[in-house]
This record gives sequence, C-alpha cells and structure tokens, in this order.
Amino acid sequence: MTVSVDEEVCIGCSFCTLFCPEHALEVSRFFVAEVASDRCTDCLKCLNCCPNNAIRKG
Amino acid sequence: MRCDVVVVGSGIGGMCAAAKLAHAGLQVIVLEKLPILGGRYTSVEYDGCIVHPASVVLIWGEGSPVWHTLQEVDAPKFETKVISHCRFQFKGKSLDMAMDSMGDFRPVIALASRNDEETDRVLGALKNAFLWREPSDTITFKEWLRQYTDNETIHVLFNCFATSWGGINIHEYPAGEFIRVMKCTATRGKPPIIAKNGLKDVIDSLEQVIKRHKGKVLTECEVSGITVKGGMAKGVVAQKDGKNIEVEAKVVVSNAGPERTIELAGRENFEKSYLKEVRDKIRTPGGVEVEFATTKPLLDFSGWIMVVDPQMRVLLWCMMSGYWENWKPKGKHPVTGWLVPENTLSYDPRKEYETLIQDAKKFFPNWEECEPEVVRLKNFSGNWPPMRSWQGYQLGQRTSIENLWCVGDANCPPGFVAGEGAAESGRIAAEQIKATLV
Repeated sequence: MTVSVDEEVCIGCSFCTLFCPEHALEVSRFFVAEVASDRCTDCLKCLNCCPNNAIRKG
Repeated sequence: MRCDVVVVGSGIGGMCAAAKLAHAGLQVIVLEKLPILGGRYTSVEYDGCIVHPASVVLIWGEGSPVWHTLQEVDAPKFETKVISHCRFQFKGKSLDMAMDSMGDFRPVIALASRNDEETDRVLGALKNAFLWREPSDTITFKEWLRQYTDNETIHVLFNCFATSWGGINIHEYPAGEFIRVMKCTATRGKPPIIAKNGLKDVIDSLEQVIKRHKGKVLTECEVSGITVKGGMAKGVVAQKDGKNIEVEAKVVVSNAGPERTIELAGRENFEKSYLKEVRDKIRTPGGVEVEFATTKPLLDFSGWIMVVDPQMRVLLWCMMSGYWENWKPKGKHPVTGWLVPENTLSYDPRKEYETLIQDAKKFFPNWEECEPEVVRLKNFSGNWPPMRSWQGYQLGQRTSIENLWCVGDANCPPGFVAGEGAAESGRIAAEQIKATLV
C-alpha cells in the first residue's frame, strides 16, 4: 500500500471513497478516511481526488 | 495556452460563468483540480447508484439562477422531475405542503402556534418585514423572532428553514438576510427540480455548452498560482499529468474561494481593505450528513421531512427513493439525515454523529425493523463546507484586482443561498465580464 491519509488534514467528507475501484477507502465514525491495506491495489486513483489534499503517496 | 477567460475551479459558480462567457463567443478554459467537474455541486455513479458527494439538499427550480443559466446558454436538456411536496413533522401531527405554495406560511405557522393570536402576530411581523421594512443584519433572526414569540416550536420551525437554506441556525443568521432568503427562495412559487443523475446532469450540460463553443475543460489540473503583473491578472500556472501549464488570459475567474484566491494571486497584490474584508467577513460553517439504506421504506413518503420538534436535533431527513430508481443503493431505500451543529464554527463531528443516530431511533418508530445500514458519513467543513461563508457574511464578485473575479458560495448576492447563490454569482460576473470583453 503506497497511499496514506493525513489524519490532521482529512475532515471525513467521504469524497475519496467514491473513486476507489476496490472499495478500500472508508470513512469511520471518527471522521477520518482509512485505507484497507488488504484491498488497496496501489492504483493511485485516489491521489488527486481529495478536496483537502489529505491523501499522500507513501 | 492563451484564452479570453480562464476559470479556476468548476463549481456551479465557475461553470455558470464559463458557459455564459463561452456562449457569448469568448474563448474559455476551465481548470479543475479534482477528477470530476462540479466541486460540491455534483453527483457520482458509484456501485450502480447515484451518490451525492455534497448535500442531497442542493436544489434548483424554474426561475432560479441555475435554471436561468441553462436557458440563457441553450444547454442540452436532460430528464428531470419536480419535488411536489415537503412534510413538516410536528410531535404527533404533520402537514404535507405543496412546494409551489411554500411562500404561504400560514398553515405551517398555525400548526406550530399555541393560538390564532400568536399565528397572526408572527405572520403580521413577517408581512411587515417582507413588504414594508426589512430588519437589519445587526441582529440575528432568532433575536428578531423573539420580539414576537418565545414559542420554541415556532423557533424550531424557522430553524428548519434556516438550516436547510443556508446550513446555519437562526441564532447565527442575520435577520435581514434571512428575510431576503425567504423572499427570494421560498416565495418563488416554483417547485424544486431533481435530475435523473442528480446535479451531475446540470454540470454535464454546462460542460457541453462550453465545449460546443470551442472552450476547454480540464480535470485533474491543479492551479498553483494566478499570475499578477502591474496590478492586473495575466493568467494562471497549473499542473497537469506532472507537467506545468501556463495559461494567458484577459480575465481570471476564481471559483476557489476568496481565501485560496488570495493565496494563489499573492497577498501583496491585493488592496488592504479587500484583504481585511475577506478576513473579517468569511465565516465557514460545518455540518454532518449521514446516508443510510434500509431494507424496507421507513415511511410511505418521498421527499424532505422538516422535523419541527424541540426535542430533536436533526431537523431535516431526505428520502428520495420514490423519485428515481437509480438513487437506491443496492436496491434498498436511502434516507439521509442532515445535522447542523448548534455552533457551526466549532463542533465535534463524532458527537454530532452520535446525536444523529439517537435522533433516527427516536424519530422513526420502525427504525430497527427496517434494518438500517450506514452507507456514508459526510462531514462538511474547511475547504469542503456546506457554505463557504455564513449567509449575510458574503462578498461581492469583484476582488481589488481589476480583472480578477471571485465566484462561488462565498460570493452569493444577498438573498441567494448555496448552489443557487453560487450560480447567481457566476451569472453576475459573466454579465459584467461580457460588457468589457465582447
């Protein structure tokens, strides 16, 4: 898994979850997007889809 | 690249401006950071179902700025339906009101009142505010209303309107602006329209207009700077596929919000009073929306339910499954709760979420029986807000740089809210830009 979510920046808007073909991104009741490492295929489609630029490579 | 007008961001404000300017014969380029157009004014197909990344409450109807724009630019048509009714649910009684008679407040105020004298007093005050003298913005709508009644149910009724038409509470809403919004939005007398694929249909239609007139629309293209020389905007610098792009333009329209626009163009290039106005005025609220899916319909009703009950915090439930089949997640029945924090400037979304779940259980007697599943949690704040600024705390469309315009929901003209206000800001900017360039 090569993407990570900056928890300080993520507001939990769920926008990114709509762009993950593997359903690996989910916003929990803590209002932070989490990446399920077993489902993430490193396609990086989520990189450009955060309105707050909270999704990073690495 | 060179063009007449470059538009930074493809929210409904930017897209209305771009479509109008392209339709007027100007060369337009729209640059959007995200993979899809529309910003918060959009919808996405996900798992075969239409999803609303921002609010399902965002609406438009005949006579509204979005509708006017679509007519003015001869935009391609798409499938739509009107929302005929909305429900006001009181404790133990309800009223289904036709949306085209929304301007007639008597039946719903009468249900909230303790007696006829109270109904007449509140309606009389509203009539005076509508027709004779608008209250000023120096008091909140709650303070204004308290002069005529302390009936908590009437206060909650107006809070239902306030939180659905601006995402803030009546104790935050400037009184004058609330009256203007009621006049402009509620009393238009036309029901709201929802398109088959949601707001995406509006954005797609505007995009087709721009392209039809030889305009360019680029997604995943993030603007990193607005170039300013000699006090004038000269264009923008952006990144697309890892490469730098320079766009020269006669006019720059920013749909990125006033604060980001100042960062992009450089603080030193703006006049002091503009910077101060942005700093003093912009108040960005927040709110929480939760989408559920149930195995059975919770109610035999489709549309919006305004909850006029002082014991409840969720004032608006949306149940749209009866309108479009493709809006149903996994064939189930969608229901969305919209919760506006008591203080929209400082709140904990996790606590608001817990409240929303408790309210759902209290409000729908058959909640557990319908096997609700949380489909999506959505917190709106910061750079992804329900409104870029509180109603009554918005700016004009002109910045202090002569050919740099700001459009969007921080630039709604008085009386216009949310997507409608953003669209109107784009229309106003486009008309004025046309006057200088065409």
